[in-house]
Amino acid sequence: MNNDIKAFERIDEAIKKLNDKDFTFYFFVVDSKNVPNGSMQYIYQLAKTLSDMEYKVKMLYQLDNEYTEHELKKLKRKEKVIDETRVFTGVGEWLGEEYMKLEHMNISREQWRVSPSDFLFIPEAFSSLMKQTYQLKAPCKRIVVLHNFDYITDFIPFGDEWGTYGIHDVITTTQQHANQIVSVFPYMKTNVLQPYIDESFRKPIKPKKLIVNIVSKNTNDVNKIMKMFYWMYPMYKFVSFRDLRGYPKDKFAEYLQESAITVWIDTETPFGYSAIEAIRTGNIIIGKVPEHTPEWMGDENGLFDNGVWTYDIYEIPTILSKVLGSWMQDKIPPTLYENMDKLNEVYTKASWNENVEKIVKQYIKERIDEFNVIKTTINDKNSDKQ
Amino acid sequence: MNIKDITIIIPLHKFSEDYVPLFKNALNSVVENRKTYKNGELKIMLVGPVDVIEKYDSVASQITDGIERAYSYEQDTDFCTLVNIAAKHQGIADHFSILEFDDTYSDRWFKMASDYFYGNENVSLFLPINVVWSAKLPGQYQFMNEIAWTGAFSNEIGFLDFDGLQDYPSFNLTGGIFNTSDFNKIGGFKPSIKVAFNYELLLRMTKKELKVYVVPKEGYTHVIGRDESLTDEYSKTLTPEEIKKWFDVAKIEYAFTEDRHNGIENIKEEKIK
Repeated sequence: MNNDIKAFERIDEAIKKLNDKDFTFYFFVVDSKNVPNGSMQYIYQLAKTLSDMEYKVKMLYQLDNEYTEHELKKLKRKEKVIDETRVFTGVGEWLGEEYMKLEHMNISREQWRVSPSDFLFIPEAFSSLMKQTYQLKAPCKRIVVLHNFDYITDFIPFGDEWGTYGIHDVITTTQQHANQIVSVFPYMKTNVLQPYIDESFRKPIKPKKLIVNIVSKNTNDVNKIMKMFYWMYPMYKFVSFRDLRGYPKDKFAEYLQESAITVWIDTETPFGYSAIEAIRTGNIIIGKVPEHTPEWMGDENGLFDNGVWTYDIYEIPTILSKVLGSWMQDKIPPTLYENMDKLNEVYTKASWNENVEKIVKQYIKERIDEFNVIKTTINDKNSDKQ
Repeated sequence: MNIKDITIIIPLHKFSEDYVPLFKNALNSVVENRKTYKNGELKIMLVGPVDVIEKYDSVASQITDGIERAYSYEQDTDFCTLVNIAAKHQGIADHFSILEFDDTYSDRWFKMASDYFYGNENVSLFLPINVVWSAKLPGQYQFMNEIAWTGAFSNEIGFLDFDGLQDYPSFNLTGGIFNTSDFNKIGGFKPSIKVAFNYELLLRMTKKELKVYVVPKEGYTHVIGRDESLTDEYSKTLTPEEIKKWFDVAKIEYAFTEDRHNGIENIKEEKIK
């Protein structure tokens, strides 16, 4: 009976904390080492939004042998070589310093305490963390953030599934992903939270320069397109290309605003932030269709005319020559621009904020409901005994 | 300065029935541009000797009205002299463009250029990327003025500057939109300079820090090598060495506002770059 009273007290305390916003949303992150990464961008944006809504937020990472601040200062003072693998760099340079102001914690070094009223968001790739937190009976609510479906199959051991780790909730970026996860784990409760595109990606006031951007993670793709283009179309050898890999978000936005056309290759992306960012800034996109067609690019009826799409990277130089020719003559079909403009109406910060609030309130309510069910169960058990 | 009305100057050196279809095409390209250029009016000004203008006038009136005329009473009726006369004519707008009677504007050139007026208010000359066709080699064409859009030509992509011009002299100014006041202030074209008169003007403009911007759009179709054209005359009358000398003359004469009529006689062989 005493145990039940204690359990009641703990449950009531958890419910009170949930009602009072006195709990923490934990997000497990990996060090992107300042390399732009759609998955981390999504998680950091979610964390920042919750922080802006005055929820407590903490970013968790795991880095053995991380330098202490004192060690780093000493190395810098003595001008000694710093082992970058022992430094958590984060997303400050490319996504913005405001994201690094969120509280971070290295769980390899500090002891992480978690309570039943807390929530832990785990990226889909980290089945090991799902397993550990299950085995260690972490009392918090665990929710998977699914950005790239392929990462699930890449990392989860054979024979395991999320249910094995007691995970039943997932946030996905698209309905397509939600359907996909339910098709393999039918017990999953899904919430779709569409990403948003930062407001710094907007059409410029100044006219466009004749500069062609290439956005690709792969140097070989960049070289292939540029060299083939110059060989095949020497009359366009005056056209300047700009390789947009590795630029911080602000610079990336500035370059996109300046230029007219962007070639985009990211076959593994589930969403394609860069492509939408380019479209938002008024760039005509020439893109290779990714393995999973993002929802804004097409549906079961085919690809949308909001970009110039191809399945064959070797066609890109020829497509580029045609788009360039049309752009230089002001003969780009108006429907293309109209369809590009339609993308400005979705993935907005306002709709993102609205959805985040709705989803979070739902999770909190469900958690309170879960606790109340436990209380009822204990009460019922005790009534039966009496 | 907000660019509104633009005078299209059409220099007419002589009349031939063979030129009439070409002249009509040229005029029609202006008429086509009027449909999309909304900043102001595109006025047409014919410039040339009285008898020549009168003959073209009847052709022009079939296509459009309200044509202005600037008469040349000078003995020289070369391209540069005629443009200078028109640029000083009282009916000229604050901005002008030059259209050769055998060339055409692309359908939307002035509209496309006007998209670039914003943010470039201090530009004295907006050049198009010209599409150059060879009358001698039908089907073959190339771009001109496009060099400004290569990454390293000048200090600011899209602009021509004095340093960049030192190593690359090949530009075509027809189709460009000139600030009339700036053009007259620096002395206009120098008729005594053959072949390199465009280059000399650009050197003079950029040396005086007047801004020259190439709008990254195909704005003008220029035919070279047509029988009896200026380029045809040059290719027949000048040797490659003489052409080089004229470009060297341009590199000397840009420092002077007035046309000093310095020919290539004083350019020594060893000075030719």
